[in-house]
Amino acid sequence: MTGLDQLWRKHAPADVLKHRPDFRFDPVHYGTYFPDLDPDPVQLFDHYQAHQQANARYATFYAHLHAQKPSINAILADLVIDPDLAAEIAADTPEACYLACELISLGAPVDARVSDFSMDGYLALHKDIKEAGMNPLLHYLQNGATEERATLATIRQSQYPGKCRYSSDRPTCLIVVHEFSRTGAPIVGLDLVREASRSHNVIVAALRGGALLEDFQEHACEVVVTEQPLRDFPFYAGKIFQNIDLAIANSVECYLFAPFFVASDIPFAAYVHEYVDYTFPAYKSIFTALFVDLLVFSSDHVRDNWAGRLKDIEFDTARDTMVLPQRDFRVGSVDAETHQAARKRLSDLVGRDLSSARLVCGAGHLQWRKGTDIFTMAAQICRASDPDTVFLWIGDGLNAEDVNFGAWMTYHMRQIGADQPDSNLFFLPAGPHYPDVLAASDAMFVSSRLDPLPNVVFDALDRGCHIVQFDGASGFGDDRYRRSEQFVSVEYGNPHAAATALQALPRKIPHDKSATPPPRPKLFAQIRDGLQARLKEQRYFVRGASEIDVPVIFAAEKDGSELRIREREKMLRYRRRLIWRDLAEVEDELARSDNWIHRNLRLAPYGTAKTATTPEFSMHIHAYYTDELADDLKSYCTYHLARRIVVSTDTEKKADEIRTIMAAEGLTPEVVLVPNRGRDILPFMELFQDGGLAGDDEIWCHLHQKKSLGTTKTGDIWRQFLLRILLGDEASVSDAVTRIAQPGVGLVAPFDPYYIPWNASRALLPKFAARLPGPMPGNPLLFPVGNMFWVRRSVVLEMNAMFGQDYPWPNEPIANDGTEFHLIERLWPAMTTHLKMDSVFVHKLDQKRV
Amino acid sequence: MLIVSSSSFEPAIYCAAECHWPGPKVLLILPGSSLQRKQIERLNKDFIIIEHLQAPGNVAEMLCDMAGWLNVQLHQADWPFLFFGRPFDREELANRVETCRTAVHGIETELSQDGQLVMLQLGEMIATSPLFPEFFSHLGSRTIDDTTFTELLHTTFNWKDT
Repeated sequence: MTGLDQLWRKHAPADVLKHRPDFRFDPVHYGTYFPDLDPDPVQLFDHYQAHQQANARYATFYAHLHAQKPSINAILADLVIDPDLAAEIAADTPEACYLACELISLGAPVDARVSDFSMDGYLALHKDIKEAGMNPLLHYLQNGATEERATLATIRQSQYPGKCRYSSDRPTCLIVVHEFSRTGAPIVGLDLVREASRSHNVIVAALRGGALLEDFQEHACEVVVTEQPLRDFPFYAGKIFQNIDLAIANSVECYLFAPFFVASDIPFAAYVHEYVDYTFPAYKSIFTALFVDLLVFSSDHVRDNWAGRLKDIEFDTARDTMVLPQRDFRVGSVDAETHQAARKRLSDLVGRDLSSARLVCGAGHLQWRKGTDIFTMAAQICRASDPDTVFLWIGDGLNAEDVNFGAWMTYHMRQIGADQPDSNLFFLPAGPHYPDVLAASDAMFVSSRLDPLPNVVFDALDRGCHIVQFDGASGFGDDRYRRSEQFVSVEYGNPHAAATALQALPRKIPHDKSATPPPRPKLFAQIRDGLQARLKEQRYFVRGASEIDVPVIFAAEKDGSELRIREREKMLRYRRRLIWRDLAEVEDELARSDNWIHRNLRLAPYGTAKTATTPEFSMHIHAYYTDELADDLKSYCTYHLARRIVVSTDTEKKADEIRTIMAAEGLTPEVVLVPNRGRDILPFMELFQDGGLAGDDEIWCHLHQKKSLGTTKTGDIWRQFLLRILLGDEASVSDAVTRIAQPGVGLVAPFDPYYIPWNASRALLPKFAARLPGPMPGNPLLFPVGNMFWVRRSVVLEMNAMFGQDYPWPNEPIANDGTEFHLIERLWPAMTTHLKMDSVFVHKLDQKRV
Repeated sequence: MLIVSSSSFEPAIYCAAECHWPGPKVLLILPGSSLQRKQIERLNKDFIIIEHLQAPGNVAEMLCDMAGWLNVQLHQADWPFLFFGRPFDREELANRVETCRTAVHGIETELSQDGQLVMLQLGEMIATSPLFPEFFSHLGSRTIDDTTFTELLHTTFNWKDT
């Protein structure tokens, strides 16, 4: 037996070896050329031997391909990573590339073990090959290599060996940071990794690289950098990747790992340092919270800030969160010698004697969020009352060419003479002077507008500094800090109040000895224990496909796919909600709710109406875009039953186009020109103002051309979903139109399988609370998602009344969420219930929504 | 761990809910169960609930699934293991609880006529063995029928003679 034969026996699975002891003959492959032969491997081999000369090229995949393209040997040689096989190839052993090809063509797990090629991986990397249904290895050898297509080598280039050795006796944890930069969250991540490595095999993953890569390698078994963990993790080399016991995602920016955790059933905690006010798009925080097993916040203040977003998905905050500051609160001190020496060095640096000055420091990246501009204003205020109060900011990020911040900050600094020797305001770059700044300073002014729990404050406390901060701007507003005299909180964003507080503080008194900084808390152990305790407490699990199947994070997966089931299982396990489980759940929730709005909401199945029974009705179409209008008129016969069709648009040119399109269908619209304001809904509501085009017509269908030129395929499908339920199709009429005519029904809209909450509209609720007859519910449960519906005139009048005649509507461009127009979409059922009428939501679960 | 599937029917489920048991109780709800949402919520106080929205392949698969989710509890177990997939009454439950306690190495299995596992009783020494969660975890990735599952249990935990 040759070395190659031994390698074949080593790598090929037992079930392959059973019918294929020699890699030089593949009975399955051979049989495809001779379908009339007995498929028995022995008989096929006998046939092959009898006709070997003529049939040599049919023996294997390699034999066939090599006969056509001998240069595949070089490509195969480049792919091989198995050291023994690579040595055979390097030694020019005949048939070594033959063996490589046949091993790779066996597929998982052999392919990725012996080479940088994976049959599955190649298809995951190249969707076009997958869609074409091609053999991935055949494609790569024939074309892919020449086209320089990515292989596993590309993925594996992002895998960096760590300095710790993997031990099968230890549990394995994956710690994810968003990047390896030398900034707050990655530094906390490094602390986690350092601690975890004492008891666990640690894999570190990041979405992006950075300066801390080598520090992470020092304490990890493996380090990977990937933005597509679901695709890449199965192909990283090493046993450590085969069984990950738990994971910690350190920062909401690591939300891209949620699909991988869900698909692999890895329990995970997310350590959140960010406020939702600046975490955009909102789905980063939503996806994190939907699937996490334990959500860990660095402060109560950050957790409170997430309250609305967590309520949106019915997240149980008391059960599924914990607060864990990244460092313990302790006040240290500096000795006189250090204090004096630090002041001397800083005096030399800035060119002003600081030996007796009241020194106030600030630290961090120069930006609006850190309030560097407010820090500057506080310095200006103090200059008048006490020129010996000196402000010193240490940090990077000032770029005079950055028109978002740097240009204005630079000009501000220049105008007030910052950094001049006679100034009381100086800026230093981040770097070795940081310890001196903290040791020398009497106080730190945390001028941040929003700052979770900045490490620089802990550093300043270690050096005995007092802290002045804004109320409601930071996690340091939590009770545990607020109780201490070391902190002074002043009115939010008020530099005068801050300046007054800073000048009233006692000066730092150096001690005989500098206090040793406290040991770092056991963050990893606390998160791991919290996660395990949470897992152990879980008393409800769901397995299998729920009735309503729409995607959340696995949008690319086909309907009913295992991954889509997995994501719903995990949401249902924790009773979190972004989609409804089934219609029974909707009805149950409505029945349980004691909110006045929900009293009159109900579901109804989709059906068709006889045209003879349809009531007299009018339609309004807001056609800011007109490109789908012609198709719509052909696709839905209901348009032809309308007594009137009013179309609003914003230009005379579009109006002419609309008239022409509709005339071609035998329809005569009433076109009204409106300014581009209030999306689709304000033009509709304005029809009902005094003297408006709506007149006394009782029943209306409100539609809009939701499709814009940039709309995705998903948006088109959603639009079809809405129109199909509201209107029917080209031959039949939806019974939505007969339902709206039933006594006591004020609104009929499609039932949306997604559970859409208040989202950013929640912030507007207090403004309108007094205008409604009862309290708003925790979440709206049902409303006409997409803002297309059948409605009675009185309901629209009620909505108009709520906002009043002269409401100051926001102009375009507006945000994607959280405006009055998004709130109106959610308030239609409230208006209907207020009028003691019902809102009916028509379900048609077989209609594709996404 | 006391595990009852909804195929035991409501009287047995409530009987298990009320009985004294030293460890966790688990209720496996299968599709078509008569239990309503409010009932399930009430039963969740007594049971860890695993709701199957689709019929699992067999009982072995269902138990392996459960073992994956309740891995921490299985590793910390200091109680016997008793599964019912068929009706039982208070008396039988009391008898089996007692047998579990006294026959610490005992394995008793019952298959229905169509080869479905309907009762499994494991003494405390087996249920608290570190091998026990490993047994499930090893089987977790394979598809086996209930008969093979019970045979493997008997083979793996045949400790009576050792």
